[in-house]
Amino acid sequence: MRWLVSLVRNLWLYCGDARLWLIERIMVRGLHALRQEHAPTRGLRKLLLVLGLKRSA
Amino acid sequence: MMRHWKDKWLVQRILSGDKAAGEQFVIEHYEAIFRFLRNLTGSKEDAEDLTQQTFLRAWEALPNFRGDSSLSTWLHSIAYREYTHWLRSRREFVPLDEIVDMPDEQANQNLEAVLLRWAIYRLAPEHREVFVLHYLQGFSVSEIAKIIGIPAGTVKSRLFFARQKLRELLSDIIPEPVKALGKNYQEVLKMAVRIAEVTVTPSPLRPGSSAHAKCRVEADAPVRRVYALLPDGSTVTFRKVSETEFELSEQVPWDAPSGTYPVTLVAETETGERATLATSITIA
Repeated sequence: MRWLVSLVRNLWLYCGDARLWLIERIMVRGLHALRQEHAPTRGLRKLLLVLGLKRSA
Repeated sequence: MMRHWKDKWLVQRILSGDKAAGEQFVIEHYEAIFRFLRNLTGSKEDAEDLTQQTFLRAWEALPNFRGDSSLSTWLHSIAYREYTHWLRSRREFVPLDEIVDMPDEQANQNLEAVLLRWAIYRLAPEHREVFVLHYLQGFSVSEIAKIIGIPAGTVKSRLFFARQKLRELLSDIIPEPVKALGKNYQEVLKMAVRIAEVTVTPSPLRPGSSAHAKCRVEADAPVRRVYALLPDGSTVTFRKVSETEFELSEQVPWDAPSGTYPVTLVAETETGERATLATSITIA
């Protein structure tokens, strides 16, 4: 059902103004991708060492 | 509330010298704090440094953790203070949108992430902070108010303006022809201008002969100019035959030594987009 709602909504936006549809898509998919970004593990290892929680890398 | 009790219990274990609890505390929150600072500072290196500082300060302040907010909110407020100090020290020197580093390889593969990050960095700091905390870090309005130390109403209005400004910024970078859609917009954005085909006759070229080159350009905007960068550093401009076809007729110098030479073709649109194509010509 969600896909149908999404399809109708996208079609409405598409017919109205393609720009709105694109902006919405960039916002939704961009946010999803940025939320998945990982931190470099080297920083985490260094921090654990500094705090004395790990003896060596 | 239950969550805060768990956090308080974890802190008590750390304070009693439980190294496993300390490790759990760092590992559980490291990525979120890094991501928060990365999206605020725009620099991976600065974010790494500030993340380290945040955890060192938090480690010292652990005995003061009372559990009236979650550990995550508490850590974010420390990270936010570190960021504001950093921002104050940087503001005198370089505007943030000039120090933003390239998105990482992972994000590079996702056009939407690159575009959104580009727009986020162009928000005013007070708008960027609430946007990142709400949409990327997942905090509620009241939690953001605690982290930043401003009224919830101000958070709401900043979120409203942040969303509005982001939409304006994104709207500005989407080229007009995209309105026509019909094809995948990622391809449209990537294909603002492209040198689709190049032919040079005769091949190989001979000294003294007449060389003829044809070039077909696909572009979403009118093509202003197509030219070739020759090995000696000179340029020759193609003649426009139609909106997509360009050609060039030149006499090969009599003294041109034989060999294969690199040539770079450049196509420029009226909107400032540019495409290049590296090719070569062979003189017999």
